[in-house]
Amino acid sequence: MRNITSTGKPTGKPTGKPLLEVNNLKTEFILRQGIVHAVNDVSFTVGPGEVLGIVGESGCGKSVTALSIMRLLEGTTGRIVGGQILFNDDGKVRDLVSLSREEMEHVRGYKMSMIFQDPMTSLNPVLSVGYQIKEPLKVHSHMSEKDATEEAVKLLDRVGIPEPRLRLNDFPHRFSGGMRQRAMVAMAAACRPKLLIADEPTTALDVTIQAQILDLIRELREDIGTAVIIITHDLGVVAEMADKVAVMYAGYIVEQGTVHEIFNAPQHPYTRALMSSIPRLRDWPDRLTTIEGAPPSLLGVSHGCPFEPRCRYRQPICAEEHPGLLDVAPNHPCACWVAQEGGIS
Amino acid sequence: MLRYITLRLAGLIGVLLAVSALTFFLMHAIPGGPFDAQALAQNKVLPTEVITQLNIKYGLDKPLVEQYLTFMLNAVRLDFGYSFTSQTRTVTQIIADQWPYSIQLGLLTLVFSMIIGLGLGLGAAIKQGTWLDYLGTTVSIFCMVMPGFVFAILLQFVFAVRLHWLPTGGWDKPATWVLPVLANSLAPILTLQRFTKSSMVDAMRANYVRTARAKGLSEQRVMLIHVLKNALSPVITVGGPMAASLVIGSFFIEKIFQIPGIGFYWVNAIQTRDYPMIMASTLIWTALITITYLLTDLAYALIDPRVAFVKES
Amino acid sequence: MNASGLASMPLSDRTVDHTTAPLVEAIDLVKSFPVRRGIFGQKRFRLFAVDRVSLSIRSGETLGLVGESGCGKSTLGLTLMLLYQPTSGKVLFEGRNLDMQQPEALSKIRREMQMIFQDPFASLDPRLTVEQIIQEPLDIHRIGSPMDRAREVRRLLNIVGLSDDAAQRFPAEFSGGQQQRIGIARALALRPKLLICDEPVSSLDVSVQAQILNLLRDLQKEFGLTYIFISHNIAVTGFMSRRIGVMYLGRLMEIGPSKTIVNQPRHPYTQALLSAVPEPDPAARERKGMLKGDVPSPIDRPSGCPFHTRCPWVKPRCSVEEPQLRELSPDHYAACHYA
Repeated sequence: MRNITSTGKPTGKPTGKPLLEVNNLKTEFILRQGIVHAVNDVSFTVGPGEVLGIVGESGCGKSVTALSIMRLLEGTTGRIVGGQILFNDDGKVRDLVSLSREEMEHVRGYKMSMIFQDPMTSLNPVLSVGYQIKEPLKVHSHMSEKDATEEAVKLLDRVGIPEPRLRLNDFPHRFSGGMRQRAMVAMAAACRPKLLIADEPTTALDVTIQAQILDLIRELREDIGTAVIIITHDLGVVAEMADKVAVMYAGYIVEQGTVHEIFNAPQHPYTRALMSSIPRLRDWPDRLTTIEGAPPSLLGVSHGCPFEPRCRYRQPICAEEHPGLLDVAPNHPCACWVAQEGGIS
Repeated sequence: MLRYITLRLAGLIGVLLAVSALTFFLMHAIPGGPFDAQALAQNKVLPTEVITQLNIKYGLDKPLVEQYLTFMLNAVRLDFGYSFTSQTRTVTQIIADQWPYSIQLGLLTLVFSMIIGLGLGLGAAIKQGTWLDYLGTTVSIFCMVMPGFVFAILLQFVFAVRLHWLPTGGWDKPATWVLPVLANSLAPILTLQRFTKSSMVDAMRANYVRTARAKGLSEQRVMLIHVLKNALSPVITVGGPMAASLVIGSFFIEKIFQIPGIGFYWVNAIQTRDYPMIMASTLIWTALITITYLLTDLAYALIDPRVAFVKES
Repeated sequence: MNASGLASMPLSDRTVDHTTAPLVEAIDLVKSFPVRRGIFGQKRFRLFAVDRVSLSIRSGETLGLVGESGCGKSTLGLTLMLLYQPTSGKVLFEGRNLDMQQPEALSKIRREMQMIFQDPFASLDPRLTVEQIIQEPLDIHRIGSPMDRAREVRRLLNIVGLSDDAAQRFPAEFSGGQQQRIGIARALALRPKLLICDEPVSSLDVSVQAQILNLLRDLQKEFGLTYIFISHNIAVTGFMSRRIGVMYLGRLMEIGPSKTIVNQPRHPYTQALLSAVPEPDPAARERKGMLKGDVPSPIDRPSGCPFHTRCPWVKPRCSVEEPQLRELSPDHYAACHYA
């Protein structure tokens, strides 16, 4: 049963309007060696308060997708060359791709904000932590210095930094990695955004600190009802946090579904191989399932399925034509000829 | 902080002692004495008795160590003795009379090249690939390939001799300042432009700048607050010693524009073996450089909180 | 610091299996570094990166070392190879004392111990061909004729799953996984008995990580290698190791068979570490942040049990008296008064 959607995007969640609707996003980087197709035809939706996990290996385009949504590629060699990023701001739907730079500045840090992978370099070393947290409050919420200070104290307290009023005047180098990431979360949450994008927020942290930060993001979502896009290479983090999951490979979304579908009934050969190639905490096979080879280069144009050279189930068609994202189960699109033809047992 | 400054100033005394001793003994180790040199300049040979008399008059007959100690004891009171080339003025007087001209020239040059160099550097970094960037590059290439004294003579020829817009030399009214300052700014502008641009570009690539943008800050705010403050530290590093070398005076510029600055005396002192003058210049140079380095480090601490002079609790 | 009660105990009563002789033993191994603070470095501290660690590794087994950054696991690896001079304590290799004072004997024993590193590219000289890189240890130790060495390089390349034509290429031409294979081939060139793997898959993508882990296991079976597998990832360490040692602030907190460590951890730190690991199973979702706060600085370590400042079950005794490793069940030791 093939439920073909014209744009290749999954049919939207039945409940209400999505907060964010990304349609056929294409992002490229222009390098001396050629054009890198970092993000190809990526479509997904995020509902209000929902957590979407984007998972994939390095170079799969997951971070570029996030930077495209935030329009943070300006000034780099990257640019959005196609697609829409529809953001629903209290009923007013706007395409972020077409906003002017000034208009976008009123969305960033206010309606949606982002935290990054490396807390050690993501805070400005010469400005106090307090200054940096107060900045969005003053710029977007037009708070007075005094109100912003009070709010910043509350925020630091909320993210679990002891003696927040004192720590406000500290510079980032006096904070540990975990504390810096807490400060980043406080800063991102300052204006109670509708969407928080967390790009590998815990990758640089130790596992016990990672657990604290993940708990914090979860609490934040419950407190202010923000939707979250969490981008990670760690399947454990996705399983822990996400409601929905998009799996990316070589710039494409290869499969999307609820977290339970993706983890319990993965359809795409890549997702399946990824799942079985990671050692579990308590259950160790004699050998791990491997995916032979390495991800392809994104330079130049490719035909066919990008996973084809490494795929156990490949068919002649796979090398010739890229399979679109089609539902293989209700609201479970998968970009694989074999899975679409009745699946892999 | 206070403790740190005290320690650094104490260090300065050590450096001064070391440099003075080294200069003193090296200077005396060079064959020939001050009066041979003077005589040669006047194309005559002084009789041996006259030289001996002069040596006794200036205390040059005493053992070197004693001469050194006497000199240093007097130098503490800023008394460097009489210049060998001037029978009427002491070294201190010469410095007091002439140095202010050099300091004025140096400070004017510093301000001018800061404005132009920083401006071009910032413009080139922020507006990469625009006319401002190319202007900066053009100016810096010009500064690099053009020797300072050639540029000075060129300026003088065009604007003073040919066009009569500005006086050829002197230092008595603001109009006389323009050409020397312009000529003197060549090297500082080059250095400042290049350092400012590269440290700005580095800072602009930093992750915290991406964070600042992600917060929705305006481009001006990102540049002026998040980038500039970080980019300043390297600029200060070159700016400090540059300021010191500017106020010490410039032989060429002063000579070409007939400015009665101290630069001429420094250079002349070496040729004429004017021992007191050489010593004075060396000590002033050393003190100046050391103090600017201290000020540079203090400025660092003001800008960058990671630089801590006292042990963190 | 109270004297370790362990040191006085005969070694065989501790962590040694009586059936197999240990290949490597560490006895009360300490590695500390001087740390200077203040403008003129006038304030001196000692950072105890490895503090009184005793353990033994049996021939043919894999001992995993886990812990968070700064726990001393990597320093322990380097000290076991005597790439760091131990501050005190001893390292025995096949019963022989490793001693920096006897460089010739040491160099001989070092051939038996090799290391692979986290960042494969950084550990390979980019200006040398793969052949030169792998052949270098053979050249240094003058093993075989030049012909033999060239043949040996091809053999090693094939062992780690690379083709012969890789020999003439440069490290930068390879992907991260292939570079790690080159690193492994170089480590195997001297036919060592012990391989210390320091975070060997941490910089690799998930899909490539499995290839390297399988390769390491295959090589172990084929050549009877002994591994020390150092990683922050407990799942990976468990898959690789027969036994796991858990370190915290330089101290060995718990050591035992892998299955026991992950299923019945007895030390509160091990329990916290395990509970913090996000598992790839949405059904197992729960609050993970059982531990509050950060790891204390290693130059300012807590008194008594180093973990007492974060321990959920802390009792007054813990801040006063440092617990020593106790055997709780055969081969399973934990350093906790209440374990």
